[in-house]
Amino acid sequence: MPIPEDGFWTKISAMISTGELPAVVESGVDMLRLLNAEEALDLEATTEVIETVGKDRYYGGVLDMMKAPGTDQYLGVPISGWVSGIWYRKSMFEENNLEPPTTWENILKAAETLNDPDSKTYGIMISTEESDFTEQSFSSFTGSVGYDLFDDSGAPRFNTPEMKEVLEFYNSLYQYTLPGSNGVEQVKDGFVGGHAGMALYSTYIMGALVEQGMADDIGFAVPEKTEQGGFGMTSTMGISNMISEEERAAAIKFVSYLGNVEANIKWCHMAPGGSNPVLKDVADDPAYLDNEVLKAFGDTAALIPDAFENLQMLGVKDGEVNPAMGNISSKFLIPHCINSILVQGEDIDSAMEACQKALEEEVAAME
Amino acid sequence: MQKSVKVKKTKSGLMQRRESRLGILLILPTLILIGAVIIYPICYNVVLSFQKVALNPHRPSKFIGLKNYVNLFGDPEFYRSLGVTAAYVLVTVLGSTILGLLVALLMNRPFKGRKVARSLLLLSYVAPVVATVYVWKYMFNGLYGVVNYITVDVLHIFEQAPMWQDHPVYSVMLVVFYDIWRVFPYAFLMILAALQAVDESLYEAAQMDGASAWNRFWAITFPELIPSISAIISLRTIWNFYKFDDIYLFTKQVPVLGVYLYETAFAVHDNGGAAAITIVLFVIVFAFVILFGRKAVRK
Repeated sequence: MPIPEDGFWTKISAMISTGELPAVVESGVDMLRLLNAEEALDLEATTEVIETVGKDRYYGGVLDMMKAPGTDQYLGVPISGWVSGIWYRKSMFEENNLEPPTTWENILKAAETLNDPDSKTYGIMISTEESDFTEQSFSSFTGSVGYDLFDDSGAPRFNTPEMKEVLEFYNSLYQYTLPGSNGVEQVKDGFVGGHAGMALYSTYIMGALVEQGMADDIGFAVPEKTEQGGFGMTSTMGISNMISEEERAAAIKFVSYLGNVEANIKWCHMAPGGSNPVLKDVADDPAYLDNEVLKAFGDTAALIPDAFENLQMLGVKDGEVNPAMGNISSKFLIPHCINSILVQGEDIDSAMEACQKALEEEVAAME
Repeated sequence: MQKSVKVKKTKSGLMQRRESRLGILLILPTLILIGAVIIYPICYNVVLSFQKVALNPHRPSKFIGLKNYVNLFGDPEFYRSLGVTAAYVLVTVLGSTILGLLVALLMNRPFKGRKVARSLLLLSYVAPVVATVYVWKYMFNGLYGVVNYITVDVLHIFEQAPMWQDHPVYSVMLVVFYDIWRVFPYAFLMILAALQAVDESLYEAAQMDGASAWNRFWAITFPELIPSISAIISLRTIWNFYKFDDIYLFTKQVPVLGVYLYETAFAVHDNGGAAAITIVLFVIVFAFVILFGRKAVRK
């Protein structure tokens, strides 16, 4: 039964309510956290699959974000994933003698140099609307300074000098982007339409760049300040605990099969570029790069999966996600703060204070 | 004689009983259907509104009394959304009804190509919401939107493209104009049908008495249209009161109740909280329908 992407959450929550959750649910980690909170997942089964596939085959950051809170078990089995980073026009960088946008300084300098709003060209396209896309984009920068959203006791630490530094940097970039609440359409269309020198976007932009014949002029960089802070999301298979023993055995067999090199390459090639291997040996396999879209990007495509090594997510500390993070993300509390500062022009200190208070309320609601 | 009357009465009583039994039997499927798809969900929703609902049926839902309602009435955002929704409903319902009335009056006059013109006017109403919202979003896009091209590059009304979806005034204007544009054909269609039912002899008599076009409209056309206009206002108010889709797709700066409901309840899977909100909204809309319906019937 085909389900549109935006109706996926509703369908899944309805299926939990009826006790009819399918044997295998493919989703991002947010959905798996919800399923785990509702005690609808078979963590033993997924952990068994990960051990069968081989823990050492995964990139380091991938399994860290899969850990179920307070256990040694995993919420789901990562099969593939996308990474967010800075896509840039190599020719524009060369013409202006700019260094690749790997560091904060390089990104800001390039954004300033390439910005020419009078001719409808912007330095960088970044997400600024109240949506999860903004939280994901922003995470690339919080990750690059090793920022933790929560302290050791689980209390939020949003109203801090570290966060202020990241927000101020993001606000500096906003001066060189299309004004207003930008989301997926504006960022993607702006960059692919040739209106920007850089864009902060996921690997799902690659197909559109190939269609426009721009692939050979495109570079990819993961922002870095004190450390590399790639943000990404895995496509993960969760196994339901609402199924029979036979179905459970079949689910384990099926998900384990997707960890097989040949099957995994086929899976990734369903959305080449967007769907990247989370298994190191798959990324290194020449058969993986033997695809029209990937070949168009040359060496860049081969380097993208490396970003999974240092995957950073807001709210994850020492491999464990704070239980309040699901609601914080669903309510767009951090994107709301970002949007109010950048787009609505609110004072940064008062916006941070308001966000801190909202985060504290969410944490308190969990207790 | 008396006996025969008695027999007749008994016979007619028996027939009445049989008829009423048959009547009950005939309306039973409807009653069952109404009970299953209207009464039961409402009752179930009331029950949910007193619970912290667990999504997983294997975990128990918790009875929390009036907590969902206390949270709702203690949230200043709820009152803000209520105010925004009331203003939005007032402007859009009046706007779309007046525009529909004007267009219907125009389209009621004979002219060449009237049938085609009438059909074309329905386009905005029959096109899918998502498609039309995205067309509008592209029209107002800061990079290649036609509205910005005309207002900034051609007419120089603005120095820079305004942030249509973020500015507190422009964003409200945007969603209001969109709704009026999208739904006025509904009012147009209903009013046009009513206009065609107005007796022509009334106009002829008025004309003979020397009534002007303006007087003929207020003395004949408008009173004849009142039942249709009341129905349009009543239905549009109910529909726009729960408006969510196009506003949510356009902007985050117009927090109507539909968006509030989604963000405070469904975004975090708080089904109990969502049930409490819908019960409160149901009571408000129900009260409106009863009050407005009575006044309209009296008129």
